[in-house]
Amino acid sequence: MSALLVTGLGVITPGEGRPFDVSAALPGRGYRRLPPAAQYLLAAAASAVADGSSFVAAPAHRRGVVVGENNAAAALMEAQDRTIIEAHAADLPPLTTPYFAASLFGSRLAAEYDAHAFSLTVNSPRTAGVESLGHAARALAGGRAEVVLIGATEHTLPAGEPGAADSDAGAVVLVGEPVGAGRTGLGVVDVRTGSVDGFDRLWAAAVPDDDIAVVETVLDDSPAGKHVEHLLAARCRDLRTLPAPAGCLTPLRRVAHGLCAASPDRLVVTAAAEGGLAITRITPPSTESPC
Amino acid sequence: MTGRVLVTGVGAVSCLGSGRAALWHGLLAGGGQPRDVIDPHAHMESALMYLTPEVPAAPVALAHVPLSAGPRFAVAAAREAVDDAGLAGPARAGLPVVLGVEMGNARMHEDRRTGTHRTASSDPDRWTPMTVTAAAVAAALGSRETHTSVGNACAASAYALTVAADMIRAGEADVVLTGGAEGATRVGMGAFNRLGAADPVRCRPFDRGRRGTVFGDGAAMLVLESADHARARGAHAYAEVAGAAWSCDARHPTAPDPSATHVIRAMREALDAAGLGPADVGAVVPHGTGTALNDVVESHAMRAVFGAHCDRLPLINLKAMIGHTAGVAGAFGCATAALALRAGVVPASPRIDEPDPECAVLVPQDGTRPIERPAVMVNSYAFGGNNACVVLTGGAVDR
Repeated sequence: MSALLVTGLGVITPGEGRPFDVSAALPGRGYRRLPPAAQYLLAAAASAVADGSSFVAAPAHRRGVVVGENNAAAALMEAQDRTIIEAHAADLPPLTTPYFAASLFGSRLAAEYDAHAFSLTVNSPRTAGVESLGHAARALAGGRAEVVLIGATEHTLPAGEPGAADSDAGAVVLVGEPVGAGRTGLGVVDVRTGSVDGFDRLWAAAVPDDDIAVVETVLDDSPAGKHVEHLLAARCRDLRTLPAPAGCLTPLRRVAHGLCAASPDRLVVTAAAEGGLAITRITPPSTESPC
Repeated sequence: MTGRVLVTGVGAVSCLGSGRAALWHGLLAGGGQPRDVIDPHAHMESALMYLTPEVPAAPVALAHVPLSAGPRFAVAAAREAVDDAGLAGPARAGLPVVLGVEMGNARMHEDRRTGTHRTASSDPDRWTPMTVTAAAVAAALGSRETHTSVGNACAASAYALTVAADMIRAGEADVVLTGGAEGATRVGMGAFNRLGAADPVRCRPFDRGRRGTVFGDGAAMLVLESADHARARGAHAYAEVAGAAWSCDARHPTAPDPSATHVIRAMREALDAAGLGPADVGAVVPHGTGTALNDVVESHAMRAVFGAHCDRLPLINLKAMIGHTAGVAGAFGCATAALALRAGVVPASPRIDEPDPECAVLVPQDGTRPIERPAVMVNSYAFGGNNACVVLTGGAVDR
């Protein structure tokens, strides 16, 4: 129930090389005044859907969406609250006001692609992006959809907020389908979620033979993050550690990178200071990069 | 996915008091009344809410993150639900937690902006995510399993409950704690004021004079359990989660699709999943928010699904009694449905001054009524056209 086939992939990383140009990424009307995290998500989805044409081939009522986010609306909510405190709620800009409900990012994506099966939003700290893979896999196995857009989107935390100096921004979207029928796509991802206190059980489920070539970690320096890094150091031959910015995007970005890495199976492990843990196993289709 | 999923524990904190008994007896007594949120910074036309009598004193923090009212309500209701289910020690360690949370710990961030927070972060440079409620509950119960936070706005906990039931049917878990929790937030109230959807009088679903919704705070929790597991340990069940379905309007950020096409589809698919027909349903907990369009569209949808049976199908007008509890609304709906199925009665709605002729549904106001058929449908909708429908059944659920 935890694995799915990836058949499309889109990644938006604003500020990498050049600023995000919404007019170029999303030509047409109705995009420029959307919150940035909605723009990133739609732009990443455009690439993913172009890759995985199976999404638009499915009937509209069989297309689903699962989006993870932690800080997508944080800057917007901060601005809204400042307006209420310093002026009046009547001064809130009407177009972006509904986005205090962060599920609107996923819903906007569903509207863009007529995804009528469901739009599910996940907001668990740090793990929500990769968790979205597992929720999509379960929904596919349970027949709630035939094909799912799976993603994470974040926008930089407002200045002065703890973690703002290094927070996630951008989006990743994958097209997910059930594993099987002899198709290989971009590879298979299999995510297990649990708690830091339950690391051993989760590891045994993700790596039943206790042998994995490459393990990437996205961890902070909290007690939970240090504990997981310590546990992994004793188990892994090739442990590659990455700092965890505020948000849930970086772990899914590393999964996307793993699908393009042309290597044997690898893991992406992330944990939250609040205790959440996710282990994602990536199995590329062959030794040649599919990307 | 196969297998029966039962409700074996219920916990609640609401404006009617702490505990499922306070919720049920408060509903039978006609529900609560809204009052103004005391917040000198809440500059808006209406700051009415259906507020819990008191905020639990603990837990004050999770790791470095100070916890505001929402997560504290969650922990109190979760403890009641797992106690009710008879889960202790190792059973709690192996308990996954799947909660629906829209605003979560947002009040902590709001209090920090106004300098009114009582507890500072123990690590002030570290990121303090907003949605830590599920993690706080898992920590309080000693769970070593997954804790997931579902963020589908006002339908969040109905989606979370469906995820929890799917986990059991898929064989991923035998028992899952699900539900939701929300506290009062300035941004949530302010946004609904700006959108013209905050009623300054009270929450008046299906009333012609309604002017929007009125939020409520609190938490509702349910222990879901596979029938085999419950039978093996001799657990008593309130109800069965017989079917659940999702759909998405994929149309407008705030307004429901006037055609109700996808709301109707969710209701019919939930009935199909439950193996029931429209005439088998004995009551409905509607989404019924008191906003102008929602109540009309939902009424049309119920008329389309239930036909003439609508004339005899009582609604439990929950938001008129505890307010719109946002991300918890679906869990409150399911908890209320479970309690109603056990009691075999539908609580009466508070007074409706003038029933809206556009809402051709039955909202009893003249005392409790027996549930004539042991099945209750719970509707839960949200911004973005996120629709969820859950069908609970009673009767011989322990068989």
